[in-house]
Amino acid sequence: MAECIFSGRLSNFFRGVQSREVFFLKIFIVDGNPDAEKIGFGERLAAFGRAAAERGHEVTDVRLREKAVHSCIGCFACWLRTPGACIFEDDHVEVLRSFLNADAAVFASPLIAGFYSALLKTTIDRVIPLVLPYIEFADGECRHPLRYDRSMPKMAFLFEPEEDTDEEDIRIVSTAFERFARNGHTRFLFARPLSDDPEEVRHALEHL
Amino acid sequence: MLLNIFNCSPRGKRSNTRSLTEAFAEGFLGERAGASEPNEVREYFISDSGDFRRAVGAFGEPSAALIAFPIYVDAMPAIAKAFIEEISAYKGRCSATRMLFLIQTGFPEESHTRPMKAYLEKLSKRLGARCDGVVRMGGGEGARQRARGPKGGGKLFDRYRRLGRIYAATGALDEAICAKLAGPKRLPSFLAWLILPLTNFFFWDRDLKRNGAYEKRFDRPLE
Repeated sequence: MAECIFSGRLSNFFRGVQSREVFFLKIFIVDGNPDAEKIGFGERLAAFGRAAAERGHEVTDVRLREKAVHSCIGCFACWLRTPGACIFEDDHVEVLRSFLNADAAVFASPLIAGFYSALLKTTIDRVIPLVLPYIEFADGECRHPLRYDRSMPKMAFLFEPEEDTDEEDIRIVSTAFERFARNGHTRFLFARPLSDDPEEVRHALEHL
Repeated sequence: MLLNIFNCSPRGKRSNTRSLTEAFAEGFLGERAGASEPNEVREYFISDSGDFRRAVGAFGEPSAALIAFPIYVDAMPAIAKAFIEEISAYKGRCSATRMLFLIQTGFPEESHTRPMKAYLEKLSKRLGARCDGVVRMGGGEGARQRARGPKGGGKLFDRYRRLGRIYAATGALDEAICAKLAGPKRLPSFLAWLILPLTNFFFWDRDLKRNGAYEKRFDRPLE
């Protein structure tokens, strides 16, 4: 543990040096809950953040409903006119920078109509400046090459279920994240309900 | 029969999605199949804030509701999700609505649209509406240009017209046409290595050069 602290923060989750007990990660929590009145969501997410920070991880977060993020309009300017930069100079620039610099991104949202929120999707839609327009063939499928010399962060999803949420819903949203991660040249770690013990979630993030 | 088309592409009237739904609607309108009333098509553009409200109201009408969108980052675009969240208020009151979907992606393989197919089928079930199917298409980027070409989109758009015609006549999507549109499970490697460099050169590089951005194509403004 001491050896790990003195050697500095480990910047790469996947290839990082592992002490006997713990990784130190840059964790970026993306709160995609659109409803400020939703009881307990923010508290449970904050509890996870605290559990991670107390373990020594560097935790940053963003509450999307308090940010101005324009929807992607599909203009491809970020690929074909101002490569790497969106035409909308809004709060998303900092969100994207934090995302790119993280080792793990933890997306959080209530399930609404069986999927994560439109608010969270607005942010996810705007990650395309992180890849190039070109298409490459990798692992038997087409995908875009990365713009930066590092993969997107590992991804995890914390959700609040609806009354009728079932295993199929969780499988569907997990599969969508798996595809997102695959095309981001990274891995999707897990989808777990926000009601899970924050220490368990933190542990799962460290050990996958 | 009334067909409400909900175009959930952020590009709206200038979308590839619209060129595909237009061909479907053309086939649909051309088929009477002995019905006493002519078929009718109404089109709503969700990216237009005025249309968004009207579309939410129209979803509750007895009709076939075609929700169409491109895949954005492996799922529906945010505005499509916002629309879905709004129509969720109809849950349990959709027995007179038949849902069908048209989704398309720039990548050729059908694997890219598979998670959304599962989601949309489950959405219909969740709302209590009958699901008439999900039309999936790979390689959809540039469809609008193809539709405006000298052959009017050729075989691709003929398939959409036939799909619309058969749907009007039978109330079902033709499975064989849907399978062809969905794209291959896997692109043969030799084909990928041959086609992709040409696509990159003739499609993306051409546009980058046209925009004077070719030299900046690998820029990393966040560093």
